[in-house]
Amino acid sequence: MKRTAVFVAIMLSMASSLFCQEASLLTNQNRKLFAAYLFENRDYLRAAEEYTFMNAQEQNDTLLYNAGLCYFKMAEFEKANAMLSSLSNQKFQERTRLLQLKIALMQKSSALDSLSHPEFYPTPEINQTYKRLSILNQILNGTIESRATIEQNFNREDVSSLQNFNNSFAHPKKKSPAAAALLSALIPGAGKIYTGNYGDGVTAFLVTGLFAYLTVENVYHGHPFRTWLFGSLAAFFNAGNIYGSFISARNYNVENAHHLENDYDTYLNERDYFVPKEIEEPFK
Amino acid sequence: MRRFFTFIFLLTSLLSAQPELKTHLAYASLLYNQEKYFDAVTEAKRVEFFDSTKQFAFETNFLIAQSYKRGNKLSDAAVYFTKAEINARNQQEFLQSKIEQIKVNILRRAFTQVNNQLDKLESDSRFSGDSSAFKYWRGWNYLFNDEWEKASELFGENDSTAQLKILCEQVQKKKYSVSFAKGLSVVLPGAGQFYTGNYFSGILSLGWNVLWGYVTVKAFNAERTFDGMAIGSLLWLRFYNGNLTNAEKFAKERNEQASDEALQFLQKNYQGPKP
Repeated sequence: MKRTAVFVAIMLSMASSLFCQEASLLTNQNRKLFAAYLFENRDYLRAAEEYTFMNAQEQNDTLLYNAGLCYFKMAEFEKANAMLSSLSNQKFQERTRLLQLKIALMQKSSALDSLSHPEFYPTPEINQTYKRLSILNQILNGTIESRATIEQNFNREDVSSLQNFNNSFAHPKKKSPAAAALLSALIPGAGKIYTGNYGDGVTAFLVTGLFAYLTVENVYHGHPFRTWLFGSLAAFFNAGNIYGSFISARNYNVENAHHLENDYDTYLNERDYFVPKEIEEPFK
Repeated sequence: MRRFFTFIFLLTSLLSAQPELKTHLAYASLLYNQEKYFDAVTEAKRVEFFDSTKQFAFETNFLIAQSYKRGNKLSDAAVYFTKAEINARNQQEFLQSKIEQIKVNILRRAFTQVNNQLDKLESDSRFSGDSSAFKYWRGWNYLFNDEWEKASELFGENDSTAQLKILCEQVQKKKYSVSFAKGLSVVLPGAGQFYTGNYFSGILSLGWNVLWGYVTVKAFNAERTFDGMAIGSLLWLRFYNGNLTNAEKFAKERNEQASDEALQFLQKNYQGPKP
């Protein structure tokens, strides 16, 4: 009986201590489960903290990759790149390269070219993703020459859109600032109308025309002060209009390029940059 | 005998599980009290994740929501107060989470949503004894919606909120009528600016309008019709319009200033319950 009581007591204490270790919310095993839950719920910052904490203890590439992936999801590309670049395990190489390629494409970075070596991407699926990302980058530079290159690598419904983007990047709509200034010098407001600012163009034409008319009127009626006043105003408005037309053309070009890049970004974001979903999921 | 030991083992495990979560929840609360809101959310979420029986679901969600609220993440706070409401175990917890949702929505200036939520609570027979609390928060809702007069009426229905009523009345008195300021400036340029206390701007406005009005009238009297039209439309009308715009702008600015000062005063000095 005594023996049994002692045995029960030992069992109880063992069970408690075993449980304490197992059930502690802060064991690395539980932290992993919790980090995966946070990642799934898009709480990437907390997930990154959990992975980073565990990695500091375990020095494990899986944890480091997952932490990098969290920062990638938060669009903190510098931190993500730093973590992904320090991975030594070969099994992460392909995914890491693809993520870095995507980051470079998203940031329109020149690092993209240095990552674009097919030998990094040996498996067919990864190779296909690499090719796509590489083509998307070439479209951004407007350097795709044949439609076939796009057709071979993308679905039919995406081909025409991508081809259009390629054409737009290769031959962007531009207005010449010099031509706009010259037009406005010849006919006040014409340069603004050339750059699509119709309201400004008509206003410039009317205001400059009005001051010019008042100048001429006052010349005929022999009012020298008013002639100088309205003449100066006409010259001032016209000079402003010529300069404004020059700037307007330059703004048109910048805005156009900006809109095109935004449209391209939106289009790629909607399709997740044609990168398979599993590449952006944490390793178990 | 083996069954007996297995039973003992499971019982011990089960008894140990609760303190572990409870201790961790207390730790999360401690972090919240230390104003470490980010960490408080992390630890409360950890408890929520491992709490398979959902026994602490209300507490964890409530704590997460409060931490988000303190961290000024009001949308997240609203989501977690709603989760707390879903996990409420009794009428008191339900009401507590509802009121917290209302307070967050007041801060988010979701005026209509707050009114709808209060309407629902007022029509709920379970909370018929809490109507003064609902009126109180409705008052705050009007206050945040810049409707000080309505807020004052609601606070005036209860003696304990007389201080708020007086403050609302004071703010209302400080307010300028935008349409009156504009109307004054229509009749006499610059008068609207004088009304709002912007004397320098008022004098300037009056001066410009008198000058260009005089030049325009003089041009018409001298039968220089075109000059009169040009000066009248390009200069006089422009200054007259500017005068109207200024009167409206100054009145609105003064009103915003009065509201902001009152809200800041409430935030720093009011001792009663605040959103």
